[in-house]
Amino acid sequence: MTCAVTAHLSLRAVFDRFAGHTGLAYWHEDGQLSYRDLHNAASRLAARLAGNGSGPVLIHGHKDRRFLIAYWACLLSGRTIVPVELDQRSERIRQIARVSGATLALFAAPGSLPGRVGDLPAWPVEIEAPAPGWVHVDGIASDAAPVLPEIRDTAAAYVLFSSGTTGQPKGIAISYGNLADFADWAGTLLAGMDPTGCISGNVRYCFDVSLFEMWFAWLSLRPIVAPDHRDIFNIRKHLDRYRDHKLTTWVSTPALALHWLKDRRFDAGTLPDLHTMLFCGEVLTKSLVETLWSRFPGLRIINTYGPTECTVAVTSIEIRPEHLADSRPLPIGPPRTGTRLRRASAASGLDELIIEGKSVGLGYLGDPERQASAFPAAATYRTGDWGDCDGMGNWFFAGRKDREIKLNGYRIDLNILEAALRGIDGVKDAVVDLHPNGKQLRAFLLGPTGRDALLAIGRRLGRDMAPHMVPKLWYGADGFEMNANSKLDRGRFVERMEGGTPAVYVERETSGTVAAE
Amino acid sequence: MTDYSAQIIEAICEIDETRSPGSLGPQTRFEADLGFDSGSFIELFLILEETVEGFTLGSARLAPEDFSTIQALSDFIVRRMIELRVAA
Repeated sequence: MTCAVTAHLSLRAVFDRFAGHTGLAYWHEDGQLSYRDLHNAASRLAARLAGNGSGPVLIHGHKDRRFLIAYWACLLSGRTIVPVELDQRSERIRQIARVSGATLALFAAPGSLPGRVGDLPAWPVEIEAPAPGWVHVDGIASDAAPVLPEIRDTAAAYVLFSSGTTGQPKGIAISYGNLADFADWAGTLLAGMDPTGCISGNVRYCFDVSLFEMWFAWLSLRPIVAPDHRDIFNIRKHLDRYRDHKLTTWVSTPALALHWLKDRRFDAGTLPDLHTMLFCGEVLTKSLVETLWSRFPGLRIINTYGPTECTVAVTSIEIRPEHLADSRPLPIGPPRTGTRLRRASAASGLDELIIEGKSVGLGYLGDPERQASAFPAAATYRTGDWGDCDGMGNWFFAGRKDREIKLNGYRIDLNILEAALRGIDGVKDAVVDLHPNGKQLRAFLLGPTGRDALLAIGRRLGRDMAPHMVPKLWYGADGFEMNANSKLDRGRFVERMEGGTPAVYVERETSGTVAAE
Repeated sequence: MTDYSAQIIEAICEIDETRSPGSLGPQTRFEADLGFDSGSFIELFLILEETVEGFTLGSARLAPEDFSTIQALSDFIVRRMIELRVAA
């Protein structure tokens, strides 16, 4: 039996178009990159990677242009990409390195090269060509022609990590075949967009929504203009950059657009070229669409839906005024070509969404139990989402089976958080919910009271969990009401504490400690 | 030296109506004491750009230590105003 190898070739064909193209590929405050420079630097690094083993590679960086060089070098050389942000705690990076089986780290940021990243040897990502005749420490000459391996469609192109149970990072693998299928779809979405101007660079590369931004740019040879998350509060600076580069295409979570809307200058007056906004990663609300249309008359708004397990997104639809007038929530649209959606009946009367086809990824690393349950058959994924379909082939998202929520694009299972809190000494029971403002997690604890005790527990949880998993607001009580089943009456428990002592805030830090007074 | 704490406190009370100016001081910490998140910071800077005459973040880079406490932010605004005057 032969294994298909066409996906790698089709991705390489996209890359080959970069050669000699002097147009801007990437703009970031620390430096820009033309398509020709991206092509040359990635080709050189790919040659070194191809000659130095075949294990996955951590790309340690943020929004610097080196990240894209490293990304393409790994993709070309068949080294699975494992993106890791600079603000990740070192213990988590070590866990990700262990779970992914990575054998090398690429340091894709400015500044001095750390000796090691997550216990792995680290290479710098070079932008400029070394002097002719230069030989790297690994013995590969800098001007060596890349000898790229043949890569199967089923090989892992990238692995993204989300928070798993007990804080162990959970790796989700996506194949070359999945990625090439996504790129094909991105090409069809581009057909309806303004082919000029720049693409937003809003999304971090460890979050798969960024794939829309990258592939929209690469397929149309346009630049990504990338704001740095260090400056996330300085919206006006980013607005000026987007205006200067004629932003036509915006991609983000709905939450990010809500942040930007706080600035009245986020409108068609400042960004007259903005043509399309594509949303992914969270539920898009009618109120957000209405506000956007009032600021940007005539804006195309595309809603998409899909899990990381199925290559970012699997459905899309352009939102129209009639969708706002409809009594139902906004549709998520029909599935993309090559992917099918179907419903599996459940006892509750709601139907679970099942995704089948080319978008369904390889699955979880090192978690056979979860794999068997979520991927019951080849190219089949059980989403855990409730869904419905109208007679026109449009799908609707109707909530989660479990208590997973989305906060700023991150998936958070409240049951897992509560279980982790119940495992901490002194906590008799715990309720975690999303603040009604939709922006912050709250933890209500039975047992510990007082600022110091709550902070100690917040700090303890922060050791095991990724920063976005640690609730911001903490409440404690030592008495509780029971419901008819003699269980904690969660609703009354929360209600009583909400009206009582002010909450204790726990800072999100990434350097180790997670607490404040 | 000019101090912008009063304007910052006023802006905080505008964002969070449950706060009273008397409960806030130079050492009040945005995240730890007030629960500020990125959305609150965005609002804060937008208000300050309107209320502090001549102040704009412009192309300035913000470091986490610049917005740790009300005093730190006030010091940042002082430095930024000097930069803006020099640039003008």
